Amino acid sequence: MAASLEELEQRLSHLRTELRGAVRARDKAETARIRRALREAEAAWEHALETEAEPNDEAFPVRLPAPQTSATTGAPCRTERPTHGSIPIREQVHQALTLLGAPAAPKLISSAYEAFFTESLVATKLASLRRDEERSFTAQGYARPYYICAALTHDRLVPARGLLALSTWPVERRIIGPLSPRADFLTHAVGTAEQIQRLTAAGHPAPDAAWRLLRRFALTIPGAYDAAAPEPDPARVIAAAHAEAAVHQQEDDQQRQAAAQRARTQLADVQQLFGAAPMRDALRDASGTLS
Amino acid sequence: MPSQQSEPPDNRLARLRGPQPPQPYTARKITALTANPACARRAVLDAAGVDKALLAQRVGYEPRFGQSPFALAREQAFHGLVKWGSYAELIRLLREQLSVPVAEAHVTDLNEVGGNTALHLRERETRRLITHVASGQDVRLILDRPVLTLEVAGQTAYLEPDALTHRIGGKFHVVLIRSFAAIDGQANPTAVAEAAKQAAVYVLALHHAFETAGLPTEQISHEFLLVCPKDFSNRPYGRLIDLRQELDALQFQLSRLRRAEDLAAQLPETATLDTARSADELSSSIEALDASYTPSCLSFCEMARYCRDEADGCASPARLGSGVRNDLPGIDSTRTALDYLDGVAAPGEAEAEAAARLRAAARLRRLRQGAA
Repeated sequence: MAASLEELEQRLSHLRTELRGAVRARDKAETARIRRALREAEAAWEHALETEAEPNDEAFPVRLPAPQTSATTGAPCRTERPTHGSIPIREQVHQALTLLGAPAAPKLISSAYEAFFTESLVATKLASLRRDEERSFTAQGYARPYYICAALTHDRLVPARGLLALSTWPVERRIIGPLSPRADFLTHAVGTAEQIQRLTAAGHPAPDAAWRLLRRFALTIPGAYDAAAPEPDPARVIAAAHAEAAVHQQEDDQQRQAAAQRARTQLADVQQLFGAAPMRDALRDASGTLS
Repeated sequence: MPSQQSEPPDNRLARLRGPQPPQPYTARKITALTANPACARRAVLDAAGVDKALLAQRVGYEPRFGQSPFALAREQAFHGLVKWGSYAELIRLLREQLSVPVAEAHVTDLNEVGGNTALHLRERETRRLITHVASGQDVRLILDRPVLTLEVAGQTAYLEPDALTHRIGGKFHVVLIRSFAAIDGQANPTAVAEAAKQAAVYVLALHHAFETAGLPTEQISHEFLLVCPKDFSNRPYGRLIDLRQELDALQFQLSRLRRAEDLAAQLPETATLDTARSADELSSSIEALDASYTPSCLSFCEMARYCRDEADGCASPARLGSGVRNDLPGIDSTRTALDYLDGVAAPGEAEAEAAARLRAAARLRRLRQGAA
């Protein structure tokens, strides 16, 4: 799809910049890692281009383990783990969020990342990430292909408590209305189930942690869990999550669009990404609540 | 100090506390206070927001009391679990056990308002939302950590229930999340009773909010939803528990609570409860406040061991439990009771009946010993 192709292209250019820096710095290990990532991203881009017309291709940009990719490169993602610990944390969050598909709390981000990448991502490290990203954006806006930014509350457009999002998502996707937490939760469930399906289709059985995560989702979505089956069925989870999401969709979309409209007209660029300033005094509260 | 005397009594309490920051009123404190409404000591200490654990330590009674860090961590972990994934488990519970329709999934997080965590802001936002929901302008399934206020002993207490839910039979329910297990649907009755008392405090506060907003209080349920781990797993399990009895008891006891300010006003001008002052000064101020010690105090009050030693010293019958205290009406010391039995002293008119019963009991006891 166009969005994911764009994302991949941004990522490619970002990687090239990084590569240039690493070569200049004569950091061999880092150069090798970036080259590998670059090759993967290129393969993923090729694949995304080929399958552009196909639906259901919220392609996971970096380590897309689709059959073609693993066949052509001959090195499936699993074997490329010597880079342990060297992936920057924002990169890890980006991967987890792309997989989940909606604003998420640090805890969920870390458990999703750890489930699929068998590398650790300490949730407490994410605490300062949003502020760092905001600082970087204010210093030189749009210098990076993406930023880890905030989800915005629908009423006051301030950053929603404890949620991280991606700057490449439209504002609508980052608005949190009364129904949005549930809608986003269902999106997370679908994202997790789809990633498991993708891995299975590519011939790499998903790690146990991923199944545990899916089971947790399945248990709390009506009709998604079959008590007789030992493991939840991703297709069933997706169907059940879609069924419930359809119930909420209309009202949620309306609220998101109205709030996004307001955000675009009222907020500066940096505020659209990182939220309006938090409320301080009581007077502003009184005027803000009645809007 | 004439100028200080004319200050509002609120400041009197603040002066008693000294420069230390006040400790907030919590539902736990209110239930403790209503469990022993005659205790002026606790009423004043809580109203002044004194750190009782520190105070007990300062006067030489290291409290072997307080919540274990392990229990707290467990409680927090279970809270996190119930609220994981946008309250997914709580929503499931409401749907499966209380037949909430699937379309209802509106939630609002009241842990902060517009990035601000000030209690009064959260309280106002809670009131606004409750008004909207109660009058049907808005829908919410779950309000996470709303803030309610309640007038206790002349002081405003800010209370934070774990959650409020609106959609069980169209009524507001208080939700309490506790980490003691319900095994086969049976939980530890003491723990449940404690939770019910705290829930009653929240329900009363909710009534208060409705009354100030001019809303019909019939919308508030007299039941609360208790969420605890099911069996030996970590899966949340919920039950509605009737609160009418606790509500009546609490209301009655709150109305009986004397105003803490009035109690504090009776203290000598030099009294202080400032934990930075010397132990002697503190002890004399604490002694000036009447305590009403019962053995059950040991399970909820930091000052209990201090009061117990005091009760030991003056041989108070309540030291032996409320049963003994009730059997000895009007007799304020076990020494006096023994004197009546031994004939050293003659009971007055008011104590005659109790003394007669004591004698009868003593005779029966002698008979039994003789038989054996």
